[in-house]
Amino acid sequence: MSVYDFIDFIGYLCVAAILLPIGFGSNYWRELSDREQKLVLFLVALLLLEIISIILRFNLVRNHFLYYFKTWSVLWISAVYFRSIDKLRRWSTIIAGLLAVSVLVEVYVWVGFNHINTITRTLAWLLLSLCGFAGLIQLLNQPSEKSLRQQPAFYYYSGFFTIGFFSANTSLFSNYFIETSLDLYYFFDTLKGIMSAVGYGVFTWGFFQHSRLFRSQKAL
Amino acid sequence: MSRWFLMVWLLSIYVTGNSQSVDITNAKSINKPFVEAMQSKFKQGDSVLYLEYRHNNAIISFSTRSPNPLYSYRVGALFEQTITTCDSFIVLPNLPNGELLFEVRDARQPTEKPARLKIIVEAPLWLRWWFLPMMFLYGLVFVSALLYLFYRYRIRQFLRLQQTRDRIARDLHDDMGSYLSSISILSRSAALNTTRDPDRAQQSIERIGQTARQVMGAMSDIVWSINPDHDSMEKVVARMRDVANELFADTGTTVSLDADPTVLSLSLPLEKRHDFFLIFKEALTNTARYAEATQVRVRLQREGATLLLIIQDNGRGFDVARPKASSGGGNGLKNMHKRAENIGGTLQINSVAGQGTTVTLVV
Repeated sequence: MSVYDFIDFIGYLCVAAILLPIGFGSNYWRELSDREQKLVLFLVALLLLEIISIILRFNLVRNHFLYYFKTWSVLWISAVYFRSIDKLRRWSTIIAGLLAVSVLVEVYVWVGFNHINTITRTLAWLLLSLCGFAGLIQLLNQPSEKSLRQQPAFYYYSGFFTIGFFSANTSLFSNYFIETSLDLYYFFDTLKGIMSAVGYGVFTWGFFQHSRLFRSQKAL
Repeated sequence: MSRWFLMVWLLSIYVTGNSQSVDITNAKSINKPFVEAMQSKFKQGDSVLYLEYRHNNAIISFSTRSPNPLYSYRVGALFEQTITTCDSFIVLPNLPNGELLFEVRDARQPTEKPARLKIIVEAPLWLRWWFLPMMFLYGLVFVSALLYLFYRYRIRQFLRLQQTRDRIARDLHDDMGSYLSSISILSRSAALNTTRDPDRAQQSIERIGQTARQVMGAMSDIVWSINPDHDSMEKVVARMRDVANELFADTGTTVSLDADPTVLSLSLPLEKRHDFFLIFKEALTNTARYAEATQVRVRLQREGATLLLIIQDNGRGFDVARPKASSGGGNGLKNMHKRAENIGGTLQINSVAGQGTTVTLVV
């Protein structure tokens, strides 16, 4: 087994980690709020895109167009969760909307179809990361009677912050690295994969916490 | 004559030595598959060819007026030896980043000035001066954000701890303060009456004992509520059962406490547990003291996200709107309502004279 095979294996493992929050989310689907259900749908969309991407790769079909859908998914979930952050609600929705349109502009005017939309993709992940950070700050500003660790939102925002931050960095250089240095591409992609897996773990714990809260502390 | 011949000879050497019979006609990079194409900007006569790192290859064409061309070329910094060829082009794949000097001349005229082309291959992003500092800065932003969040979290935890301390202090003051004041007053009264009125002194001492037992009970409740081992509903129910049995031990009243299995798996945090338990205890104490009931039934059940505590007795009942002064004048009920509000719940008391009372706490 070469180093590249090992890295590939880690990559698949990190993708598989998304099944955890999807499984937990589906299990508690009825108990979840509308926003949490959308988070599960977002994760399902990511998984489906990843599966399609792998299938196309094995069939030697260029799969870069899938990044557009991933970008739109990220913008959508950012807009959904930004709505819960009082100060940024309006601006974030406007920015997410503008970026969603900009994807088409970048693709058709600049890079061409089936090329990676580096700019909008990076900005979308950064927006999600910002959403996570702002959400965490809002939670920290809440009255301290509420335990932070028992609030599912704390885990969701932490997940957004982690995944968004590392994905933005990778997105910015992935196109260049694919064309020039596969070693660096693998390095950044693996780092992103591992941090995403951490984020998925955090989402899972959030869903688990939600179920506990639903059973015991939601009403209390 | 000989002088003129020498001058012509030297001039011919100068002219032929500096003239350039080979021209570089074209230079471009070959677009790699899956790499964004780059348009060649080279024009004949240019002395420099710029290449991006991802297109780090070049195909250079050259020509000469000689009918049977033979070229010699070398690429400085790539290979120093001169290569002779009949081909009128050269392919330079996978060039290193930096500056290279391509020189080509007619191989049959080694003294002539070569045609030169400087090839500049730009450095890849990761080798540029700003890349590593930028990555470091990006990592630093992440670490700083984490540290900032952690700092805010610690402040929040400190505030929570402070609030818990304040709450315990308030509970101690509210619960213990009045009892201890009573003990203080009663002990002074007992001391004064020891010689003057021994019977009254005896009564005072008995009341001191009774109050001290109440203090012990209240203290026990506080200590119990702040112990994290008692977070589970199972422990809460066990404690409720103990209190119920204790209160009705010598009264002949039958007490039953039923808790749904789903309730037992719940967990009550410290902030909620104390108020929840005291509502139950206050309700049960009122029943034991004033209801004259023969049967008391306590039920704990879960309905969706809601926890229900129902305390039902078959006692004499009372007017909920106007509780009697002898039964505390409604202060106990007010406290119960306030505690229910504290934990985000609602308290409902239904009582009909002669038909008993039902206390329902919904949280």
